[in-house]
Amino acid sequence: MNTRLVCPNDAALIGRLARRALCVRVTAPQDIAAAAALARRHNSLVCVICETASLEDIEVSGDWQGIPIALAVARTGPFRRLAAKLKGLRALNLRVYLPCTTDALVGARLLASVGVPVCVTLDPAAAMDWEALADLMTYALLNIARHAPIEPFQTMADGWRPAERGEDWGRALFDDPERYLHVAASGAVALSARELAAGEFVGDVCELDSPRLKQRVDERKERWRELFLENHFCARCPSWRLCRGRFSAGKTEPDGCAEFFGEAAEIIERARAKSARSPTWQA
Amino acid sequence: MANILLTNKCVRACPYCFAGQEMAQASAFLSWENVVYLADFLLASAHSRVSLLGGEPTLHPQFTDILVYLLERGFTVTVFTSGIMSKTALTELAAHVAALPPERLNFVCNLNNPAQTDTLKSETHKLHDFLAALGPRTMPAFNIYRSDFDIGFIFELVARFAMKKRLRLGIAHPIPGAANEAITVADIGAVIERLCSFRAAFEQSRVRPSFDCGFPLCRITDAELGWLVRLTGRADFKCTPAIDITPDMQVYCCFPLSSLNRRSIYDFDSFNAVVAYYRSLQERIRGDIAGIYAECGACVHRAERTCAGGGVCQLVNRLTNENPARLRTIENEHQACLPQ
Repeated sequence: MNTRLVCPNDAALIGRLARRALCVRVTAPQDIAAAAALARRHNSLVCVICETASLEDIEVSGDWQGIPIALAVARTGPFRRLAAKLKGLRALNLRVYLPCTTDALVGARLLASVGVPVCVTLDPAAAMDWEALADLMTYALLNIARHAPIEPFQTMADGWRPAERGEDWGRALFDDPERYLHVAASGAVALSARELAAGEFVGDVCELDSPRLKQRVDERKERWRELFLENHFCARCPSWRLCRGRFSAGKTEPDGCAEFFGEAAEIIERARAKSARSPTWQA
Repeated sequence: MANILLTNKCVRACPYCFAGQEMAQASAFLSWENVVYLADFLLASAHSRVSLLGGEPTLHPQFTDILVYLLERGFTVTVFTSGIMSKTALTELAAHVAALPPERLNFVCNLNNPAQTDTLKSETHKLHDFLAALGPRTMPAFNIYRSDFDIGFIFELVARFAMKKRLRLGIAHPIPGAANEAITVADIGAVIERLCSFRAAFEQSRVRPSFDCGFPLCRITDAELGWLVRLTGRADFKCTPAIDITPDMQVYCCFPLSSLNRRSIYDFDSFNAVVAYYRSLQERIRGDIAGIYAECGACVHRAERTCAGGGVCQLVNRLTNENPARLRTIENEHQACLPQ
């Protein structure tokens, strides 16, 4: 399996993962540079994932140059406190991850509009403001002015195949077991960050290339079939092709997700039509 | 230039207020989503200058954030304010704009003479605090709503707080259907005469008067005009559409015309289309009434566009009072000009 491993910044663990592609998790921004250096010693670094409270409190460091960074924050903070950091943020290979709270969605739009790439974390376990999310997606794909990419909408649009199975946009959120496996400090492997946090493991790092682990990943990728067997409402939902039941857990009826993904498909189609109307000039 | 109304709330109650009808609506504040939309809309239309108005724009809870955001997007910003704000808001604002080059951000402070307009002492203190912090970035402005107006106090403020030496003068126009105190067409001559009586103060303080729309060239004598041109280098008697965008994304041309052909900003593809729409409305109105005086129709200065023949709001006011049916027809005819 050519999977990327999302793992903690643990020297012993990283030592066991030689020659793997790693996304290293840190909780303090000041650990980013050291984590990248450690990972690059014997591995290929995909990115450093830093989880911290607020973007406004982060001191952008010159040591971060050349390090792909996924900066997951709970909030952006007031714009006046961000303004001084923007030049530094734009100069980096960095994407800011934000939750789907109303304030964070506004923050995502603001950051993108001033050139900072962002991603909003569509979390099935969290309450969603679907309308605000659709509004942000419209901004992301159909806006009148240039702005930085807003994920996962860009990945959603790139992978959308109306008549066939599209690519899993969860990869923009490190939530696609074909692309990302999540590793605990102990070496235990989970198929998602949520399962890692819940201690639901499917194996160990020593099994990374084993057929057994590959089978677990394949089963997960095909788990959507169960929704059809259960006659779950998701299986009858017109928006199925875009969400593939990602928000089905614990639901007995749609809560706005169906409407959102229906609108999302329309937005993608409109963005494609717009792009087709203004093709790049060629000699 | 686009005037973005951050809120319809104001802490003052100026007797001449021409935004009174807007202020009477329920509280509204421009949302962040709409701030971003407007910034994109204006930049995509190649407009990089913007004015922030209200109500009192500094009452918006995120005023400093919005201002900093627009500056970050590359706009040159003018803030129209009463200068009355809390100490916290002022400290925060001053700290964030201190390092900006003066050409990127300036304020226009609307001043009332406390001796002629009811003003709370606390408001005067707050105004002075504002001017102490941001005086050099601030142009004084004064709305004339009575013919015995006194602007002497402004020269003192300009000197004391090192304000910009240009005084923006506006005539308070009557708002159709509203009870604001205003200057009638008949009073304009007296207003200009009164203004010129401050000639010595202007010259001594080196403050240059600058006219907002509505001043007719013909009511200024050649001697007064000579003085004005010598002092200011130019004198304008024009009236061009000022596009106001409300917190709920409605758009209209100038406060006094806020009920005329009001549209949603989303009806337009670009800001240039908005300007063209309202410029054409103004032309339509001026096609019916040449100017505020009977002689405007045959006036060479109006024909040559040296003078607009008064503000279009004055013409609309006349139509409202004398021929409301005709005004409705103009409005309806213009409706069809909306870009599809």
